[in-house]
This record gives sequence, C-alpha cells and structure tokens, in this order.
Amino acid sequence: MDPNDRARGSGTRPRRSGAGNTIKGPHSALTDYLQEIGASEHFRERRRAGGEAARQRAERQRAEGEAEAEVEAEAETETETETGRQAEDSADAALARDLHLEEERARRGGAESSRMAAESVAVAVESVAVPAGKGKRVAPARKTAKKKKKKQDSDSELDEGLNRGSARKGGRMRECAACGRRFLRRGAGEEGEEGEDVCPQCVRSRDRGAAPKPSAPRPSAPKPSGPSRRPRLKKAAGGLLEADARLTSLQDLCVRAIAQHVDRVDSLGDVSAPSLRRLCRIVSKMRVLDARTLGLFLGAERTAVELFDCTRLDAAALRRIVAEAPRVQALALDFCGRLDGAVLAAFAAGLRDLTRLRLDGAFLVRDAAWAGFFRDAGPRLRAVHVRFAGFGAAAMRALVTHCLALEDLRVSECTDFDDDCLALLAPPLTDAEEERQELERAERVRRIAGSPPITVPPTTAPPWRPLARLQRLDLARPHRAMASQTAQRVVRTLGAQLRLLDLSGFRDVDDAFVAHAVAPHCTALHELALAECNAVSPPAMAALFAAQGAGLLTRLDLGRCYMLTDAVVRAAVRHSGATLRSLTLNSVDDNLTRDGLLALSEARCPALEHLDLSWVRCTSDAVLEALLPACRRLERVVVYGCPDVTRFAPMRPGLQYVGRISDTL
Amino acid sequence: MSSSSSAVEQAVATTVKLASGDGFAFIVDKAVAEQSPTIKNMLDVTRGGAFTEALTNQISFPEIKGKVLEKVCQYLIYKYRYAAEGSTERVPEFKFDLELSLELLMAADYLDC
Repeated sequence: MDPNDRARGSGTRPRRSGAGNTIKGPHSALTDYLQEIGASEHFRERRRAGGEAARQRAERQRAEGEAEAEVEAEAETETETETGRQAEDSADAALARDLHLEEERARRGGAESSRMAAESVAVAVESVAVPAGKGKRVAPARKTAKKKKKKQDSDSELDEGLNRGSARKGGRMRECAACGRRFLRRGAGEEGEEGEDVCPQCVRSRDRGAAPKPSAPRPSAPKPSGPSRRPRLKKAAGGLLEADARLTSLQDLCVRAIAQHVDRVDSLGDVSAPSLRRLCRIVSKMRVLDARTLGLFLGAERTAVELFDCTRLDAAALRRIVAEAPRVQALALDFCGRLDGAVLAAFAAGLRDLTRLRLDGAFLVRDAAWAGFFRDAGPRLRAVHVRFAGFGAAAMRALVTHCLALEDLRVSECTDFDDDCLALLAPPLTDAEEERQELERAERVRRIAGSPPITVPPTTAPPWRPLARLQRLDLARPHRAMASQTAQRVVRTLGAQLRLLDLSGFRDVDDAFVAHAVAPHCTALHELALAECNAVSPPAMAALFAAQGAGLLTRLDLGRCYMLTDAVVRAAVRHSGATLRSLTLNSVDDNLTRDGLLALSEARCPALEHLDLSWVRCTSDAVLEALLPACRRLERVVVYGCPDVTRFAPMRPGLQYVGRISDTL
Repeated sequence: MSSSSSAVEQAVATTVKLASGDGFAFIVDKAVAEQSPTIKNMLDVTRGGAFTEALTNQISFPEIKGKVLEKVCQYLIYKYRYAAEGSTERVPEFKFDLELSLELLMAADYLDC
C-alpha cells in the first residue's frame, strides 16, 4: 500500500474493511505533490530493503510469539474447560476473548505487538480448535483471524515506514454509516456488524434502542451519494487544497469583473506597490493574467514589473512590456514559456534601465539568444535568475565575459547547464591559459609590426576575469552531473565573497569538496544550501561546521541528505545557532533521533523562524514541546510525513504548522 | 428590564462588530461573519491564546473602507444564505460597482471569502 493511497483514501469515500488497502490509480497531482515535498524514491527503496529485514524479524518473532502463545493457549484451554467445552459458544467466546486481548495489545503496544498478538491468536485458535473438535464453527473464526493476520502482515512490512507512529496504532478513520460522522476505529472493535462502519455513539444508541442522533449543523438538502458527492469546504495546511464551494468566491467575482472591464479600470495610480504586487498575484492565481489585464500592471513610471504567470501572454503581449514600461529596473516573469529569443533581444534593446531579471520557464530561449542578450544588456545587470531555460555553454561564456557587475546569479534546473558551464566560473585550466598567452603574444608582435590586429578565432576562450562582485550563487538542481573537482575550483575562486551558496542537487560533491573548498573559503556565508548532496558523509559535514568556529548562517538547507546524524545537527547549531533563521532537515530520517532535534532546543536558537522537519519520523509532540520555549520566534513548522505530530501539538499565537496529518481533510 | 437587557446581551453574544478604517461599523451575526475563514480564525476562542477580537467580538479593518466593507458584509450574508443550496440556478447574481472592484478584490483576498 502506497502512502499516497492512504493519503488519498482516508477521505469521504466509504471503505469496506480490508478492500481499501488495494486502491491504486493513475499518477495524480497528489502523487506529484508528495514527491515534491519529499516522499521520495529513497523511502520506497528503503521500504523495499526494509521489507526483507522485516520478514526476517517476523520469523524470529513468530518463534518467540509461539512460545508466548503456547502459554496463552494453555490459559485459554484452561478457561475452556472451566466454562464447558461442549457448549456451542465456547469457541466463539474464546475467540471474542482473544480478539479483545489482541485489541488490548493493539491499544497498548502498537502494531508490532498486535501482530504478535494476532499470530498468537491464530495459533491459539488453531490449538483451541483441535481439542474442541468443532471444525465447522472455528473455520470462519480462523478465517477472520487469518484475514486479520494478513492485514497485520501487510501493515508489518510498512512498520518501518510511515506506519510506525501513533496515528496508525491499529486504527483507521471511518465514516459512520448511520450518522455520517467520522470516527477512529481501532482494531476489531466498534463494529455493528461485520463490514459495517458505525461510530461508537450510534452503536450505543442503537443498542439502547433510540434513533441515532444526527450531528449538528447538517445541510437540509440530502447529500447525494456516490462520486458526485464532493467534500465540503476544507481548509488544509498552507491553503494547498482549494475550497470546493459551490458559490463563486468574492475574489473570483471581482477578478472577473476587472478582467471584463479592464479598459475602463484606469485608476491604478493610487494603488501602492505592495498592493499592486498582491493584485498581480491574485490575478495570476486566478489565471486571468492575459493581454487584456496586462495593462493594469504596466505604466511609464513603473520600475518593477513582476508577473507571476505569463502563460497567457504571447510574444506580442510580452513586447508590450518594452513599449509600455520602458523604465523598468526589475523584471520578473514566471512561467514565461512563450518568451522566445526575439522578445529577449527586444528586452535588451528596449529596457535600458534593467538591472534585475528573473525568467522562470523560458524554455524557448536558446543559448545563442542568451549570449546575445548578455552581450547587449550584460554590463548593466546586477541580478540574473534563470530557471528551466535552455541556458548552456555559450550563454555562460557571454555572462562571464560581459556581466561583470553581477551580484546575484541563479541558474537552476536548466537542461543544458553542464560541468563545462560550471567551469567557466573558475579560472580556466592551465593549458587553455597557455594557449591564450600565446595568442596575446602573437597579437603584441603583430601590433608592433604594424599590421592590422588579428581577429581572435572563435574557438579560443576570451580572457577570463572573475565575477568580482558576485555575492549570491545559486546553481540548484542541475540536470547534468557536476564534477566535484569543478565545484571545488569554483568555490575556491569565489568562496570568500559569497553570502549565499546553493549547490542543492550536486550529487557528486564529496567530502573533499566540503573540507577543502567550503570550509576554508566560505567564511562570510549567510545562506548555505546543500540539499541532496548525499555523497558528503556526515562526519565531513559536521567537521565543516566545527572547523569554521562561529558562523553567520541565517539559512541552512540540508534537505534530503538522508544520512546525516545527530552530530551534524549539533555541530550546525553550535556553529550558527545564534543567527539561524531557517533550518531545513527535510527527509533527514535515517539516522536522526530525538537527541539531534533536542539539540536545537539546548543551544537555544533564538532567531529561528522557519523549521522544516518533514519526514523526520522522530519528530513528535513531545519534541516540539521541548523546542518551542527555546525558539521563541518560531513561526512556521513544516511537518509533512511526521505521524507523531498530532493535532494536540503545542500551539502558540503566531505559530503555524504546515503538513500535519491531522490538518488535511 | 432584566429580560430586555438579557435579550441585548444575547444579541451581543451572537453578533460581531466589523469596523472599517474610516469610522463605519457593521454589526452582523457571528454565523454570517464566519463565512470568511479569516474572521472565523480571529473569533475562534478554542485556540490556545484567543485573540482580543474573540473576547470582545469586535474586529477592526483599518485598511478597508466603509463602502467596501459594506459590500463585503452583503457578500457574507449572500454566501451564508446560498452556500448550502443544492444547485446554482436559483442563486441570484451578486452585483457590485466596478469602481469598488479593485478594493473589493483586495479585501476579499484578505478575508479569503
């Protein structure tokens, strides 16, 4: 059973006992989303590997369980003889007792012991059946026990995974067939009849003979059953699920009205910049940012144009930016898939004040177009953020040559960005240097001799100068493999001036990189992100923090570095605890324990505002209770995939939990 | 006297006062006001650390003008009235002036309604 299915399945769909576990479906947006937040391949691999170990452990425990069950079976047979073995109900009573015993165990001990109990039940039932000799009676009982055992077995394989926590202590959320309320059904209890889900209140009232009371406010219209029945207004963490209200919201109505009459809406002069930005965000969220509404956000006096969703803006509309907002200094276009090289060249020619550019998703722009852009606009640019574009070697070369005032560079998730591009940020290797010196010498000779200077053949590299002003370097998640050597050379060159270094997704950087490049050179770092750098071993990571003494880190991202240990967290906190504002330990689950997390509280991270502990299964309510008093400024705690963080987690004003299992649906 | 004052008290307990930035105040039922999730959270007394708004049943919106807030209240009543309808054919259209639309959009985005 996939964790995705469980997340999807624990909704309003009525489930038959046992059948709900096998729901499989097409790859949905939810699956994609879960992958994005960190439910990754790593966990599936681990579960597959863990399945073997679990099976072996099950074998061992079955041996132990049998020893225990023998004792129990003896106890059972003793009570059997007491009540009269020949009575019709004795086997059923024994089974009922066994089931209660198993239920008790489930409540007390968790899934593992309930598995043991279930096995012991199965063994006990078999051993009871033999002396009672009532094969017919016991067969259905054995079947239920076996079915329970099978269910528990499939659960047991998942015990290594998300199942381990308290939310899965043999309980499932069910919807009551009588009153429609949701309740938690544990193990075998609370069943009116086999297969029907009835909440405890309804069971009690049915037993008493009264009609089951409907819960308070129910809509008067009868709810249609089946697939047309949709969930009511559900607000999930972080607004991830849209409210499925039947009424169009006021925001919808307003945006539609604005979009329709955009020619008449010209009174945007008195709207302040943050409001305008918010308006643009709303309009983009509603997917109505197109050629008609674009005019709202452009104007001769605008210095910043930020469009969050340019999918409906074609090339002509994008050129309007040049025409209608020529003074813009900061241009940010997200989802600008329809932007092509010609438009980019128009930007370079038309926007003379442009200093900051962000283009996310401009996949139609090719290398050569980028090169032309940097040649024209490069010297003015101070910040360039490019994502998901065709940014390759020619573009990089042009950038390095022309954009010498660059302070902020982000090239992430570009398919053509490879190791050679990265190498361009570091001084070229010696043989190329020799070649260049040769050319220079030849050039000098010719000039002295009076003949016209030779043109540099295009195959040689232009003279290399470092990006001396570069302070923020973000090369997250490249699509090609990056060599650790190249990364080392880059960091050695630029490290001393960097305030932000993001090499997430550089899977091949290893201990040498951390020890010889980052530790000695990156002394002024404020933000460090080494997510997914799994080749760096935990001792090396800990040594990095220990070697640098007191640090100034405000943001540290070590997500998906699965192997990191408590020592790393402790070292990191010792290094930068006083200044750390954002810490991400997403999926750092293999070796992290409570002590590692409690290190955050011991060192008192007073400035910590954002903490991401998704998929770190040892996070629990108790750990959070210890953390909260020490981290007084904590505003946002992201806990996807932490089953032990329940709705009883400690709250305080200003604190927001994102991704708690109890928050969804 | 006591009966009328208790009636008043009862009215106070089930209503909220929404105050705009330019001095207007609107008194609506709590159930109506809670159609906006933002207001609902503000009025929620079961949170650890209830807001002042929950204790005094008064919410002020200094950034929202009176005209806009009036329209918002009308929308909240409209939503309360028609949200549980089975079909949308019988629900009348909610009208507002175009001049208000921008500010109404900002207010609606803030109140998430």
